Amino acid sequence: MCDNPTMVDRSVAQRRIGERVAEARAEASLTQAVLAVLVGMERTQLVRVEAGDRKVTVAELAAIAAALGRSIEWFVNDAPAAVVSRRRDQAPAHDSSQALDLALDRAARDVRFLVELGALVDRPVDILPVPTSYAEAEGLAADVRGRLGLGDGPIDDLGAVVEALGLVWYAENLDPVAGDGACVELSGPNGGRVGVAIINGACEPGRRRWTLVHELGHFLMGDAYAAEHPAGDVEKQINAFVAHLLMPRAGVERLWRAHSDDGPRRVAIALAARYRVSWSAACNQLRNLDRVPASLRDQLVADAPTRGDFLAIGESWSEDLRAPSVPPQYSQAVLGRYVAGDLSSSRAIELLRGAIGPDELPAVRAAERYPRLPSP
Amino acid sequence: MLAALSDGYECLTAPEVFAEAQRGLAEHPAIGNLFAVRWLAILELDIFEAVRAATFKSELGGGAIEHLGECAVLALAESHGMTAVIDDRDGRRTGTRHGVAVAGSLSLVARGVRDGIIEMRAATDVVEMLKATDMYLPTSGADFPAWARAEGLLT
Repeated sequence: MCDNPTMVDRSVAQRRIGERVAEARAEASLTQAVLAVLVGMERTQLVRVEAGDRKVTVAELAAIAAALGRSIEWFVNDAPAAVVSRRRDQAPAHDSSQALDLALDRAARDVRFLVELGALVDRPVDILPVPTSYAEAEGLAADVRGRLGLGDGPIDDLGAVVEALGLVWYAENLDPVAGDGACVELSGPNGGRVGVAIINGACEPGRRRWTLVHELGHFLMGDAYAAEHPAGDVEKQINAFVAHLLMPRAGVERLWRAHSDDGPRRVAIALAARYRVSWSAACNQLRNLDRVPASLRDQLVADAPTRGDFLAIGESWSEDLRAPSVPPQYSQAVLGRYVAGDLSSSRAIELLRGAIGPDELPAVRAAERYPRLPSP
Repeated sequence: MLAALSDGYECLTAPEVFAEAQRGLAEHPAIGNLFAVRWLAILELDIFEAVRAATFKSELGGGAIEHLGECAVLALAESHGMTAVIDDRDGRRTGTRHGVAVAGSLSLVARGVRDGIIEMRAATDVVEMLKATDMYLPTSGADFPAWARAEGLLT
């Protein structure tokens, strides 16, 4: 916002910050009187800050940011320039919300900071074509699996796989109605791409995995460039890509051969458990692969198994993408910078979204030369 | 003693530092001495300096009041082309990353010994006095001479 302060009139800077305070306060549905009480200011002072008539101090801004649940940076610096963004204002077809937008904004700022710090590196990631048919979507999923040597089995460490493809993700506890996830793409200083995604940890485990791969699809396909594709079609094709990436045909067929004597429900239970997808996603994939007719798929979806049904036939699964969590290389990068002394403990914990606590930080930090003061 | 050590330097601080000191006053009454010093000018941050302080704050993290003093001092030092004297290592690192010259309180004490302004014995007393306010310092008064030599601050 103020890269070159000498060129910007003070009152303009003051007014812009005031507008941001007013915007954040309104979105939090607080009156000026209530916010003023929360941050220990006179209401008239806050009114003047919002109007740009009074300079806000850094202490007041920190208090306002904390009271409104925003990062202090949000009030003073613009968000990173997004190459591609799928927030609610740009893609109404994609379920999202203000909480999701805020989480994504914060994540994008954090990734920009870590890229500037050299802790994360933007890399060239090819933009894949948006599929125009389900067969193409399946082929694309097979290509991605092939590239990563994933075979046709379940992807156990999905978070690490997605990160390896260039998408940094944050699983955060948001309101269950906030939406499943969102992503944004940033351009890096090396001319590469970095994707940033938010996954709503309030969703059930299978849905979190689905959402993460869905956001990966958006990132890999850079579909906002593809103006010729209607948004609804893109969503459908990306969902087909997700289904085949998570549940490849050969793997599903193998389960079918092994369990179909016990009926399609038994196959769907094995598919949901081993490939860690939601019940409806497993049933839909059996339909997609023509193993069950649509009417039977609908019956199966309506008759979801209980946890006991899974356990009774020896199927179980472990949850991943629990909130709060972040991917492994990202964690390593943050903790590496903490150990090197580039990040404070509180900042490291914030960047890890509280996935580890203060007592769990690495014990040893690099030694640092004490600075010398020149004589006057 | 701190006045003698600061002699020859133009010394500024920010109201945010005094607010931090005020919060620590109940536990460490000796901090109150800070309010009486005359060689330290207090300068309010202008809006651009406040923006820079907020940027430093976002990089340092923490709650609503953590690091505010350091961030304000960094912003003043950056804008006035001065050296930020900060005892929080993370704060110094943030300043260095942004091209702000940084030092610690003990840099000032060691400089005093180096330039013959104070004897080493007096320096160790100053360090003990600072340490008694729970200020984060990397050495005790007794260990200060060896520490300062090892850090290369005395030559």
